[in-house]
Amino acid sequence: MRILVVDDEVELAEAIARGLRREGYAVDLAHDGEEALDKARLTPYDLICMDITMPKMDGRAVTRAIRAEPQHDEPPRILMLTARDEVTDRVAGLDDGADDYLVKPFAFPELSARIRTLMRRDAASSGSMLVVGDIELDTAAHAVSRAGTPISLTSKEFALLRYFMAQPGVVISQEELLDHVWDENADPFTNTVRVTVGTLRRKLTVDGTDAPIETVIGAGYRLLGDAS
Amino acid sequence: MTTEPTTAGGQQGLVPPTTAASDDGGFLPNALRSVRFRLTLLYSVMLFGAASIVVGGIYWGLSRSLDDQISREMAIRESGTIAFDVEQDLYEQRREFEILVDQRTLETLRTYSIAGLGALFIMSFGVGWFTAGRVLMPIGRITRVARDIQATDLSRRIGLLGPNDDLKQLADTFDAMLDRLQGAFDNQQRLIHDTSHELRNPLAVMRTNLDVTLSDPGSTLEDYQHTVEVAQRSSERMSKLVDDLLAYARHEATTRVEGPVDVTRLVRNLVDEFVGPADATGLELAIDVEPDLRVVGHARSLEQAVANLLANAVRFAPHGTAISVTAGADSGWVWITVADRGPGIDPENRERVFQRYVRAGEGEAGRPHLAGGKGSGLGLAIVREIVQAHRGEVSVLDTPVGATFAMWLPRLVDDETTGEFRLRRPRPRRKQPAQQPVA
Repeated sequence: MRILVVDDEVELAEAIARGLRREGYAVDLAHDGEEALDKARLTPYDLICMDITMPKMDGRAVTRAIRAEPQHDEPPRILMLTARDEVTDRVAGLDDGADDYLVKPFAFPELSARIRTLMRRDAASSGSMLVVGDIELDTAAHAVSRAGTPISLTSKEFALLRYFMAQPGVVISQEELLDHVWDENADPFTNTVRVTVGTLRRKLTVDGTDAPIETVIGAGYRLLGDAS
Repeated sequence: MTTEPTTAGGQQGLVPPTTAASDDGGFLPNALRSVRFRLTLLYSVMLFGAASIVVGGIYWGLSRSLDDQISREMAIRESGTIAFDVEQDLYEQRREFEILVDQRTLETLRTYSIAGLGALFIMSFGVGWFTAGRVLMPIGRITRVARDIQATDLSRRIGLLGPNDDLKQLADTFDAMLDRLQGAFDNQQRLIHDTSHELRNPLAVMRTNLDVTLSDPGSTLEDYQHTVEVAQRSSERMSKLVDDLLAYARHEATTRVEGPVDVTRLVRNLVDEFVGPADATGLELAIDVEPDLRVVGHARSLEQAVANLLANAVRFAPHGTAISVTAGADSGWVWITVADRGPGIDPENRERVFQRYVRAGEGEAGRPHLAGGKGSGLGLAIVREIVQAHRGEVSVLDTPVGATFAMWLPRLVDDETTGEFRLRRPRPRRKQPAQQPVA
């Protein structure tokens, strides 16, 4: 899941990014409206955390622009973050195309829960548990287990598995993984995707079970098993 | 300013019966104390008195003239031609009859006069009650609207129509006072609103940083250190904001006290105070102030205005450059400029920077955006408030390099003939102060 955090308060944006990266999201930053719009045009973000009061172009204008000209197949979810809390402000924000609205200052766990909720709508599942075959992933508690055995994953591996589990049985290309699981700092020419998939596959192979992720040569990777 | 209507409203709520009964016209003890009743009573008593004097005068005059007539006739009779006793008797009888008729006439006159006076008193009471009611009607309207305004909102006005008489002037004065009150009230509301929003940003920065760092068991010492630094910066921002707010409130409370202010000394003293902070950032302060510049105003407020401009310059000027402070007089105005060689302000933002919570750097382009803003966003708004309260103006001049702020204040000149201070009426248009080269 790739998230764009837009806020002109650099220290706030960085703190949000730090917290979200820890939860396994790939996070990019933008500090004004124009930068945000440029990045949103370039990258198919899954979610954008958007401040409203910003220089150059405010969050509502960016939201309208993103909604007016869909660049990607899956439009991003937009979560507005703002110090303005009147009902009229919220209504205006939601009417501009935002999916949710959070008033500053907020508790970080709440932001993270709202992001999970918005993502869940995306994955058409309910609750924080994702289950594919005998693999269970708790997006809130950050716990993964296979056939009842807990597995410890790094945040990148966790993010990768979560992305696979959202679309079980579907072949996912390396480019798509780079777009949604890695942030803008990843070098697309390294074999970081291959290496991380390899480690994840090895960690998921516990007690003689089969490797759940298979490589489809020339196309990408696929998580075996059906969603239950 | 804002507390007054509330307190009055509270008292109003506590004692509604007396105030409510005092303006309807029921014949209760309260009604007897009403202005309408007192006016009516005064009117009828005066009218009654006047009528009594007139009627009494008529009565007295008539009785006097009748007495005179009788005695004159008697005098005529006694002086000559009365010859016979018979005539004498006849004359006596006729005289007694005349006296009797006169007495009857006077009695009738008295009776009618008293009855008429009584009727007049009652009629005058009625007319007085009616007239007083008519005259006092606008007052009742003013009272009702004033009570509504206390209970509901400040946006209602009396808007009394009719001739421009005393009561219309009272109502208009009241309306004007409400305009001012509402303006001040709205201004305060906006300030509170803006300020609470403005406090939310540093709070959000602090809280999110603390949340993220504290909730991660894997946070390193560097993470903690970074978080503490962020918290420190945020709290500095908030205390700056609170300081400026207090200054703002103080300024609003004190600008009423005015006197002659020596601008020359004020600017020199301030620049001396800023030498330290400027040195700390490697800035040079150049000063060029004409002697004997005086204005009428509040010294502390004006000091604060100039200090805010200086603090701004010190904040934005790049290391190693110079800030120049100049002051002079031009056709009835005293001008003070503070020029820096910082990033400057775009022409389209030169008006906006004086609005509350608009910081330099939040413009369209040009000035680099400063992370979180260096100021509270109130400094220049305070400058403008103060300068405008002194019937002056402040603006950003068009300069090729940096930002130059200039304020104009009406000049106070020493009147040599009377030895009194007087404000020279400034001309509506004035020249810009000569551009001072920045060293």
